[in-house]
Formats: sequence, C-alpha cells, structure tokens
Amino acid sequence: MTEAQLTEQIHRLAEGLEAPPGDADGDLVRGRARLRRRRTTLAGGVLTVALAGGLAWSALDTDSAPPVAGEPATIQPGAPADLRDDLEARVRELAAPTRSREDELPAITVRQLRWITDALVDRVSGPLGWLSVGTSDSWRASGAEACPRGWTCEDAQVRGADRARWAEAGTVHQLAVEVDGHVHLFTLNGADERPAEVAWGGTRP
Amino acid sequence: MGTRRRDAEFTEFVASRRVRLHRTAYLLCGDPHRAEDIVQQALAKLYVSWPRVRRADSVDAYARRSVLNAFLDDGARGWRREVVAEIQDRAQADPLTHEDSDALWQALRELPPGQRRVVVLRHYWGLSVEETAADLGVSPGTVKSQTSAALARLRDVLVPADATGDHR
Repeated sequence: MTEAQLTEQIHRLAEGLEAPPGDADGDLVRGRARLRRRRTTLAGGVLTVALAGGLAWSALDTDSAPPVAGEPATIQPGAPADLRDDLEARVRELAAPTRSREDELPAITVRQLRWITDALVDRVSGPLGWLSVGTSDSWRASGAEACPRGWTCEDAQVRGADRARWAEAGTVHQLAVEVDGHVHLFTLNGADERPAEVAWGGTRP
Repeated sequence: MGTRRRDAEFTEFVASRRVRLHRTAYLLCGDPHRAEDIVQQALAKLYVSWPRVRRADSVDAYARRSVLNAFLDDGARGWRREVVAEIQDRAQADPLTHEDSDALWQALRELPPGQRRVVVLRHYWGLSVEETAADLGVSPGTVKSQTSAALARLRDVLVPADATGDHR
C-alpha cells in the first residue's frame, strides 16, 4: 500500500462514517457553560501575574509582548515538596486585577497549576534553587517544538494540559505546558542561580 | 471581542467543520459515541479560547489538536469498545465495501495511538510532515518514522488478501 492509496482508503472510509446532525447551538451552550465555569474558578483565586516579586507570569497576551515574557524569581533551595508549597502559597496571593475584558483573563487556574506542580515534583529531584515562569503566545513561539543541542527533550504528561514537553540539561529543567491555548514555560535550576542557558524561552543572564 | 461576535464566528466554524472533526475523532477512537464526546469537549474548549485562537488565525489547528488531545486523555480506554456493530450499522452508507471497511478498521485498530494520529492527520487532513509535526509537538523525523511504521503495519494487515486476489 502506497501513501496515496492509504489516503484514498482513509477518505473513502471517513466519507462513509455517519456524523450526527450538526448541533452548533448545543456546542455554543456547552462552550458558554465552560467559559462560565472557568470565570467562576478564576474569581475564586486564579492568577494573572504570577509568582511574586517581579515574577514571571503574565496573562496579558498583548501583541507586542515578546514570545516568552517574564523575569525569573528565585526560591530557596530545598526538597521538591518546597516547590509545591512555594508555588501554592504564592498563587494564593494572586488576584486578578484586570478582568474587564475577556482577553485579559488569567491564563491558568489554580487547579491546573497544581497539576503542573505535580508534574514538576514528580520529575525533578534534589535541591531547587531557581524558578522562573513565563508565558508564550503560542506553542511554536515558545520554541518547545525544537530541542537545542545538548538538551534532552521529550513529551510530558500533565493532567488537563493540551500538551506538554520537557527539556533537561544538567541541573536545569524546563517544562512547557499548553492549556486552553495558553503556553506556560517553567524553568528550574538545581543551582541557586539563573541558568546560563535554557532550551526554550530565551531567558539569558 | 464581543460575545455576539464570538458566538457568531464560533457557530459558523462549527457549522463548517463539525462533521470533519467528528470523523477525525471517529477514525482515532473507532467509536461514534466516544467521537461525539471528544468533539463536544474539543469545541467547548475552543469556545473558551476563541478570541486568542481566532486572533492567531489557528482555529483549525487548535480544534484539531483539541480532538487529538481529548482522544489521548481518553486513551486508556483505547479500542476496547469495539466497533463491529457500528461497522455493520453503517455499511450501507460506506463507499468502501463492508469487507474493505472492516479490514481497514482492523488495520487502524492495530496501530499504536501515535501512529494512528499521524495517519489521520496526514492522510485524512492532508497535512504535510511539518504541519503534522507542529500539531503533535514532535519533530518531522518522528512523523516520518511513524508514517513509515504505520504503512508497514497496514501493509501487513491489508496486503496479504490483495496478494491472494481476494476482494477485501
């Protein structure tokens, strides 16, 4: 079987599949309900601008923003559990100051952040001295499709995420996560300093 | 973006793409009911992200990826709900003969999920290697190798009957 034959066969098979009658109204209702739930969650404590102290998370996806925005914040070295505590404590501090336009809604829910934290904690062991979090306008813009020389990259499983990917080199780990069209980029370093090199996001000293 | 405009654009998109998305999900999971669940889930997510996705001019890609990811999220159930009954139900409307259809379903069923996704994106959506790689978040080389492996597996399942002259 050639590729062309396979294409023909797949199309003939697909054309024979009975699709239910279009239910655009139902899809609209479900979409609105999901949006309402999301806003309710956000009102309960979602972040717009993340981790305190010049942190890195910006949910304001202005067209002029760089592909990955954000200044890193340092956390104290410690066991992986410290990362979870630190993230969750900081997230609770965050409110959404600008919810006047839907485009400015925060990019992630606390629940989703916890799932991401779970993935980080499961993956990264040893001391953690550095954490930064950035956002990107798109998966492609984040650079996560590529794997620079010297890095080990692989797909990651993060609950609730559209997709996720790891990059690792020495003590530096990066996790790119796409959730509902928003891309978040976590950079962690076992050393207590900004990484000299990163795979994605262009964070540089 | 106002709600009215968002709703109008979303509804227009659904009207034009829903059948294709449903068939995509159906080809991936082999079950029309699961396919409907997957599409509903994907479209609800699309509605939430509509302003951003629309602005990025990536509605089709986002919807496609949502279907793929919903399929993966649901992947633990795999093909356990087999499709034999469904194949019989729709045989009359299938441009393929029942035997051809059955053989192709069987072949698709035996593909690992990753290869099945590549087959659907490349051979149903007609995406290039690069576009498929972008959708799946993998390298073009991975897409090529999965395409090659999928074709080899499909040949194993489909060719022997052809070779013997049987009509499948």
